[in-house]
Amino acid sequence: MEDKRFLLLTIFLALLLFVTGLFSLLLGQVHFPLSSFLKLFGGKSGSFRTIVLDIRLPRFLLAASVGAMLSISGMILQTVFRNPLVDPYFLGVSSAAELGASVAILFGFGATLFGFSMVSLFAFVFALALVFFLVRIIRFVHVEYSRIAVVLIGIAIAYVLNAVNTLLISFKKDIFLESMFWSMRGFNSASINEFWFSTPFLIVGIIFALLKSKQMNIFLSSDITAHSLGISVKRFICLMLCVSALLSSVSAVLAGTVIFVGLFVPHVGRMIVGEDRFKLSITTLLLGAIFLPAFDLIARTIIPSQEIPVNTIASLVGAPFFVFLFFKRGNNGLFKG
Amino acid sequence: MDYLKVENLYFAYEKNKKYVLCGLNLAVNRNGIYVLLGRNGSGKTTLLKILIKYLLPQKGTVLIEGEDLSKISLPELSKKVSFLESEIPYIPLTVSEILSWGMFPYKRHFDAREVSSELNLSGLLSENFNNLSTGEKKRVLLGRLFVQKTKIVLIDEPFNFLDPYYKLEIAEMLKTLSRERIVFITTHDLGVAANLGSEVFLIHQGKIFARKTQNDLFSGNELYEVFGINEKLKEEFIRFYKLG
Repeated sequence: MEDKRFLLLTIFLALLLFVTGLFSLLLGQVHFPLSSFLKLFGGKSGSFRTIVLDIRLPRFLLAASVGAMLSISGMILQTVFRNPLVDPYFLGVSSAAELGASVAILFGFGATLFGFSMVSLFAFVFALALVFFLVRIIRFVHVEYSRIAVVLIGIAIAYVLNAVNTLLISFKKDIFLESMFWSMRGFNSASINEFWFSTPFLIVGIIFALLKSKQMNIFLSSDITAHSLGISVKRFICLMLCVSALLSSVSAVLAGTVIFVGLFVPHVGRMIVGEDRFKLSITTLLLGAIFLPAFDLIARTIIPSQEIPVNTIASLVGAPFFVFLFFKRGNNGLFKG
Repeated sequence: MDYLKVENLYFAYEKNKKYVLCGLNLAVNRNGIYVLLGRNGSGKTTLLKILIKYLLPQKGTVLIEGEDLSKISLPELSKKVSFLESEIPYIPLTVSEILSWGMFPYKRHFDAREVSSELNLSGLLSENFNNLSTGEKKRVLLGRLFVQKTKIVLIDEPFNFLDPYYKLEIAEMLKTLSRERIVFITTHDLGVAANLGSEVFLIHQGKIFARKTQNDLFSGNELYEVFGINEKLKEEFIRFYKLG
């Protein structure tokens, strides 16, 4: 895509993000007339002000941030593996996070640290530990086998983690509901602090993606080409895995396991702007920040006085939309780049 | 001083396995096209991969401008030695993007148009690499080496899968490239070796078996020995390659 068209697209997506935000603030289980929305900036406090600024705004911001992080994380992983079927949980990050959550619940760690429950912190630590372990493995194998080693060992570990998790649950049944609730909680308890917590990670993620976009482009060709151009392939794989895992772990801590977005948003981005990693990073970031709040908005408004898990909406709405896009732009889409 | 010097190089892919390269020596100091000619599995590609540090030798030294290869960092090395693999990778990007890789990691302004008109690639700049024909892809990939401007250029099997037209084009590009550079190509194609190389290194049993020029490639017995052509087959061989 030419630079000029790309700039227009970026402006359009930014506007779309703004509109999504506006709708997220306006719509919800409690209905307000539009006029009261305009009065919001008058400074008077009231139930409407509380609902919009303390509940809906943090919820929108957090969903946008998590959507953006997961999308960038997915794009980075798809680049490392040169495989369009990879998603942020490919390496078992979510299994590790869920086990961490179960362990915290089992031992009844109810305390909070900096506003985060121990459950979330355990999940975070478990997820990161898994990735650092995987990254160490890469040292011991030749470049050409590094990906397959990471994937196979990642999957093997995920099986073990899942089995341990099941074991814990079978010892104490009530963990099951609680950990399931934790991993599927979505954004209904979002706070502005959680959003602020996510921003540094999001910023690091996008800066990394933009700074390393040239390397990622070169990476699309072959390891030996990247190597001959002066890129240390193993080190770069490790770096990308770490950044990607950091983003998906933070997302898991803030919103549980959010499926689908990290896999499909990068593809929507590729269908629109192509494979150039600089443009794709920006587009993917914006699309992620639009799609997830939009799914969340649908999840909390489509059935009156009933909230549907955001994952359900992401699958029910996102998947058909993706298939539609694929057939519309298929020739330039998934497989041909 | 030799620009490139390889001394007593040993390499095996696995411990305690047969050495692919055993005691290989080689020295080059003039610009030109150097052909590494040998049978499949003779270690031609392995040698190139060692020269870019993609593989590490068990024994021996490589000196580039007198500097030990093992002490040269990868980014530094990419300014001295460039490499093109034999396979054509799947690259879903534009031609101008791929040409710009020759400048990596410099942030200097890169004008793809300048290079492309020189290389006759102007019409392709905004094309998606994957949509090009094999011959065009090869030209683009070689074009990147022109941008990279290293003194040593290593190209693995540049003529694989090319039709006669593109073979000639690639040969022309290689000749241009070699005016200011030391260009190594690997091949098992005698036609290529006989017509393109300023010098031909016959690589056999992990060593440089003989160093030949275009003129004396077919004289002597070394070539036949390398390719396992015995006296009985030799006549047929000469007829087949129209050497008689």
